[in-house]
Parts: sequence; C-alpha cells; structure tokens
Amino acid sequence: MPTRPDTLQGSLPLLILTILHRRGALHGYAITSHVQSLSDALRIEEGSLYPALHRMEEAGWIKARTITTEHNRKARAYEITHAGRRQLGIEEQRWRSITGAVNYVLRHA
Amino acid sequence: MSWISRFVNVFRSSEVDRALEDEIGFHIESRVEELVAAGVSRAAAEATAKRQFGNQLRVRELSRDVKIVPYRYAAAHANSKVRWLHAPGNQRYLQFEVAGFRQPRCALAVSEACGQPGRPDSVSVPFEHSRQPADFLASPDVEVQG
Repeated sequence: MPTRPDTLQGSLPLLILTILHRRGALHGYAITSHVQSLSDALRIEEGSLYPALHRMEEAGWIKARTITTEHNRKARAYEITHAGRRQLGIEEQRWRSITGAVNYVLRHA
Repeated sequence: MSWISRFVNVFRSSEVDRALEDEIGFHIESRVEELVAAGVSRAAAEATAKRQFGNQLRVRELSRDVKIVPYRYAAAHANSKVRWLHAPGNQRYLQFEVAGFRQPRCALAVSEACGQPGRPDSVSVPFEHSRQPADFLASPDVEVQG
C-alpha cells in the first residue's frame, strides 16, 4: 500500500525561525534546501513557504533585505528579529508540549 | 511590516507583484540550476521545478493578501464621514473620518496623532489586519515523507 505523505501542522514557523536563528540570513530557497539536507523525512511545501515567510515578516518575527548571491543575482534574504527570537522560544515550548503529550499517550495507552 | 506599509502597498501594488514574481522566479531558477548541475536536461529541470513549486498564482495571491490591505474589503467595510465640527470660539474645522474597521486601536492611534483642534484633522485610516500570526500556525505546511 503506498504511504500517504502526512503534514505537520504549525511546524513551519518553528523550522524557519530555528534555521534563521542558527544560520543567519537566508533566502527562501536556501531555507528549503537546508531542511532537506538535514532530513530526508521532511519536505517544506514550497507553495506554503513564501506566504508563511511574508506573514512572519508582517508579524515582525523576521525581516527581509535584498542580497546579491554568489552568482551575482539579487535575492530576498530573511533574518530573524528580536521578536522572532522571543517567538522561537514560544514555538519550541509549544512543540515540546505537543510531542511530550503524544509520547505520554504512546507510552501509557 | 506595519499596517501603514500595507496601506501604502495598495498604491504600489504593481511593484509588490513584481517583487513577489522575482522572489518566486529566483526560487524556481535556483531549483532548475540545481537539477541541471545534477545532470537533468534544462527542459526537464524547468518542468520539475515548476511542478514542485506548485500553483504560483495561488502563492502570489496569498502573499499579496499579506502585503496589501485588501482594498475590496476596505471599500465594502469603510464607514466614511466628512463633517464640519464646531470648536469653542466659533471656529469650525473639517473632520474626515474613515471608520468601522476591526482594528479600532489603529484608528484611535492615527486619529490622536493627527488631531489638532482648529484645522482639518482626524484622518483615521484603519484597516482590516488580515490574520493574527497564530492563525497561520495551524496551516499544514510541512510534509512528512513516509
């Protein structure tokens, strides 16, 4: 039976904020490539990435600036803000509480 | 991005569209280059990159909603008023007000900032703040390959 790709609700902002926090300013393509280089199991939906980035920018969690890539092309790079670092802490805590609750059920059911 | 820039973007929507197009174009072109470097023909790489990206129009529309105050919504929900107000000392001044949106704090803030008795003032331009950040946290956006 073919396996169905599942989705992780709410994990995209957490992944984006974590990557930008640890790797500095990156453009959208570099964010997706970085996730894929770290995990074959996860794939960021490219169609969801940009609206999410723009919403996070609107929320003040990240800010954008234009950079020139090594191939001399202009790209829009995003970096985490102070508010974004604060939000990252909230997201991490939320993620841990969800996974902790699921693990608890798996252990004790 | 402040609500002011979102409002300003209404008047420069073509620039916003062009920036979105450039950003999406850069993403797809980067994927194409990666596939070509891996030995895929350019035509096949372009087709794969576009397919993987998905519906570009939908992405542009979603991002546009974030970057631009939805003016159709604004037109439908605005409660515009222009009226003469009488101040002490027989002075009159014109008040122009656009009110009735869901963000009264914005309206109040702008109104307070502009409000100086004795001159045309109280230009309140509130807007509909699209969605709260928490709303998009619930979107399914990361696939688990299984």
